[in-house]
Amino acid sequence: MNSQFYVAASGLLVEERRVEMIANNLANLSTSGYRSQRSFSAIFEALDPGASPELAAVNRAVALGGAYEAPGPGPSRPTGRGLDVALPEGALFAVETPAGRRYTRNGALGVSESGELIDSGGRRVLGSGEQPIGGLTQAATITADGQIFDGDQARGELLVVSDPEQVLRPEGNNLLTAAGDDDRLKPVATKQLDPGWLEGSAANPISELVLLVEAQRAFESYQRIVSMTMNDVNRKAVTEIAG
Amino acid sequence: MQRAVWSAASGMQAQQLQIDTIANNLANVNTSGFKRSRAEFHDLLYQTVEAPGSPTSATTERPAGVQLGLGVATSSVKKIFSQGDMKKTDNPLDVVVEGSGFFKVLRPDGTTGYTRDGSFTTNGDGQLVSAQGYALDPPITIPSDATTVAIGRDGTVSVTQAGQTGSTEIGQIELANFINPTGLLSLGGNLFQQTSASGDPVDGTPGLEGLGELQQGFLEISNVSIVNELVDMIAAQRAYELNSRTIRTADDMMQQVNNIIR
Repeated sequence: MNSQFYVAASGLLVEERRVEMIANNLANLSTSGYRSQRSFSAIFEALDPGASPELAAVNRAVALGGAYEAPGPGPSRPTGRGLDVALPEGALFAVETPAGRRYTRNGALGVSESGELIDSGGRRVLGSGEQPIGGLTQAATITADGQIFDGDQARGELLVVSDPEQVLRPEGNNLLTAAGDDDRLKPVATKQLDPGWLEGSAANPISELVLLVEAQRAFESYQRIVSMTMNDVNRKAVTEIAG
Repeated sequence: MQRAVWSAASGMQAQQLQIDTIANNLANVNTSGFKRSRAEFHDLLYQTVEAPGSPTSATTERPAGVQLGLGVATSSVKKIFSQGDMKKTDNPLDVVVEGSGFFKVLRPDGTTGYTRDGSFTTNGDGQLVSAQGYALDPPITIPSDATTVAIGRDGTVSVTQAGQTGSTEIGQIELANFINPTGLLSLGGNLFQQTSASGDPVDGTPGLEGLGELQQGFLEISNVSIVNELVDMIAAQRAYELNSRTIRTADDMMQQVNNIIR
């Protein structure tokens, strides 16, 4: 069939994916430390480099080239809770999960029944010695340079890492996992935390809505091309030329 | 498009729960000893459409993958145990805990309930009981001929009896503390119950071992901040609208597909 049909159909699929991505961003408007997912499109050419220029010009399609996290930070707000902490942009905590080490930006920390520092999903938060921080009670507090105190007793120091090479990808449950072979990210040189504050979601409702409308309109345009190809061009070809 | 609809639906559910939590906080703005709740959310699983690092030719690879998230879920509704403001009542049986610690009361089923609400009264037997009539643990009985009741900062309860000049110590109010009070189970009626997440209670004397001191004649009012709750409520309402907008958009697009063939 006509190549414009496939080009437009590929566009429909791309816009569908984009809407799905935006839907997830909007669903996470209240998720602490969330980063918006953005995508970019790429022209997809499956042609032999030796193909004729005419063929190469029409036989193209669009596909999602990739996705990335839009930079933050999300808006922080004071909570007055001693174990809430907002991280500067680019910094993450390391947590221990049954599947290995993961990273999180969600600074709503807590203390487990055994006195260890945990994140909001109950996973143990690692200290600078790559070990969990224990010996805490409900009097635990965090200082701006990442020290953990229980009352006036120092109990350890938080491990705060950064991801300059952008190897992290989202896994769900507020967790990020390192894509490469080495899941040990480097600690930041100086910690500058905001205790008593909690970072909200970096998904911005206005930009998400603009992108949503944009994706919807692009979808409509592609739909018109598909519709025109199927209904008008093909019908004319069948009824007028063949008939 | 199905993913978009379900992601948006999970977003609407999350904001509904946010509003439910805020509504309960606001409803309890005048409940003494009430601690506000905070809903916390996390993103759901991601589906990998294109894996990062997958080869695009013999020598090149995809620098960024495509992962589609599937929405949001509630991770917890956390009680925030910050100190509430104190209200002077001049009632000698109103007590406030300045700092951490819970009063212990004996529930009818024999288990211990924990509360921050120190609005005590006496029952027919002269026992100190909570607002629901649950006796303090350990029990304290005020003699019927007592003229004044004094509760010290360390929890000692002493009375002056008719015809006597000195005061007599009749009991001691104990407090209990938890490593993780956020893990306590809210029972309603201002009561909390111990769980495996909260850890075992550590009983003690007020003012010692990190426990707060008592203050007689005051009540701890709820730690709900009306302004903060209202701001959160507006944000939740707008987020709810935006998610419903996503559903409408996805629906419109599905309709477009339906209309491809005239």
